[in-house]
Amino acid sequence: MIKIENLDCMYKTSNNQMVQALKGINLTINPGEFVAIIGANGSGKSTLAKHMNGIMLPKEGDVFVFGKNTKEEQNNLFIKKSVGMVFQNPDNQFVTSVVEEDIAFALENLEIPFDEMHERVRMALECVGMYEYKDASIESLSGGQKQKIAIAGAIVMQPKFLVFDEPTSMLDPQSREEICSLLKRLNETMNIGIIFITQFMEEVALAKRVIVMNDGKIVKDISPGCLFEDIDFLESMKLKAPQITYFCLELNKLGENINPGILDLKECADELAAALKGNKL
Amino acid sequence: MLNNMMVGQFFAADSIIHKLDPRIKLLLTFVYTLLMFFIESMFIFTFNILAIIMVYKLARVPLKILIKSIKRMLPILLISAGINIFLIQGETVFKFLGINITKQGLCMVSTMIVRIICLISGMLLLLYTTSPAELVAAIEKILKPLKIFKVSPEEIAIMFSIALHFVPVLLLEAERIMNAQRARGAKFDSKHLKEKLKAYITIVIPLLISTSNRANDLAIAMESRCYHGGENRTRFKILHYSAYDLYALLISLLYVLLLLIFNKLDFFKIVM
Ligand SMILES: Nc1ncnc2c1ncn2[C@@H]1O[C@H](COP(=O)(O)OP(=O)(O)OP(=O)(O)O)[C@@H](O)[C@H]1O
Ligand SMILES: [Mg+2]
Repeated sequence: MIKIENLDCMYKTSNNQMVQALKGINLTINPGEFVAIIGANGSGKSTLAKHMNGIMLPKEGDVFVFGKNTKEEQNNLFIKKSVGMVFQNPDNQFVTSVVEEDIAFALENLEIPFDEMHERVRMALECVGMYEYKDASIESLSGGQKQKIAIAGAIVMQPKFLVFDEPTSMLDPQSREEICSLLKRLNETMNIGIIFITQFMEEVALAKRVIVMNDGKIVKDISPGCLFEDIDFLESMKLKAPQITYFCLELNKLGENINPGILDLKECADELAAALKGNKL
Repeated sequence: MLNNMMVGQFFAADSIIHKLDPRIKLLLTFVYTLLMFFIESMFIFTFNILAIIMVYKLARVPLKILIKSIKRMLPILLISAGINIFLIQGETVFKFLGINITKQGLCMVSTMIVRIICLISGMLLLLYTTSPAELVAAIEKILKPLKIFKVSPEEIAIMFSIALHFVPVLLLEAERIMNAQRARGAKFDSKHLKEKLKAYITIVIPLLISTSNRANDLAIAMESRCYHGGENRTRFKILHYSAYDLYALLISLLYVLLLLIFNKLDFFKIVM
């Protein structure tokens, strides 16, 4: 469980002004949850994420990971190990150029013995479907493959939570989809709690819970379906709903009765087909 | 995969050379490098190139990769050769642009090119057949004595590994910035030295900024993966010597002696 209480965060900018990036955040994330965090640029998403595994320590407020305060030095490794992180630019996350050796990095730091280390690296690679690339040079991989290696590098720690800070924003659509289904699988089969920061509204639909941030505050904590129905709210936050929601709303304007909270393409098609049949009868 | 290979990146294969202990490989590469500076005769260099080709075959590293890397360095090689060839005095063979090209000049420059190619091939072989983790482990072992001076060999070794990984990344980045600046009118190909210099300066600042951003990201990523300094880490690769290492040492010793003796005997020095 990640518990954040009254968290404030200030940055000092280069011209000595203070920017308040987080304002009184209260948030609890339970094990196994899949949470999306959205918000306009500069709304404080990355700053919040960096507090979740103790990369940034709160000056005001507290962050607890399974009851352990991130401020206390002796909890450091436990917290880093429990909450893994994957970042936007895959190129900046690797410490070496051979796939399996990079994945082993966290285990080396955690003083895992040789045999167990090799076993866990193998399992992590199999989990992301990249075992055949274990000897490959990271440079030779595509962006999506690199991101999978970065994910393997985090799950090798056997974390309870994984925080993703816009992991798909530099990828092509196909790789993006692959990463998304990987996240879903990690959440469903391994029960890893996922905190997923994204700018792609279609991806938000993966989550069961969405947190909307604006100007350093959490302004909504809701399910994706309910969130997208309120287009005016989204647009006031400089966000947009997925295409499918706009489509359903347009249909509703035309007098069809389609639930605008639908996010699944197939479900939408089914309802539409049913409605069309109803018209014919 | 071959297409994306950068200069000097590890090439995984199942070979005797890959299995050698990286400490031995580092030592042998060092000795080999020294040896190349002792040799003067074209004949011995040719012999040495044949030997290198054999070792590459033994290592199961395709020669294609080596040739590609050498090709990339060719422009630098040719430029320095071009400068040298005009500067050496001696018997004139022919005139080029009104400058005498001498026999000694040709001789010296061709030796220089072959020597550099031999050097590059040897060093690349080390990088092709030794994974970064092994290299790091070897460097760490070799630098152990530095501990007396409170220098952490573990940290130096990690720095080395990161540098090895980021050099190609930054080279690509430089190329990207160069293209971006070219689109904005920077004249990298200008004949005026001043303009050319100005153009190159426009790469430096963006490259510094992007490098510092990358370093920042990397530090956060490392911290997230539980990095807490060089002490108290276990290793993915554990080094141990095997019988192969002994054979490799013996064969190399024989080879060094052979070349040195050939080099001493004048009749192998072919007259150009
Ligand atoms: N290192 C820093 N120094 C100064 N100000 C910063 C720093 N990092 C972030 N900020 C400021 O803090 C605020 C929140 O930034 P943050 O990166 O958390 O936003 P974000 O929601 O992740 O934005 P984005 O969508 O662009 O990633 C912004 O106003 C930003 O300018
Ligand atoms: Mg961000």
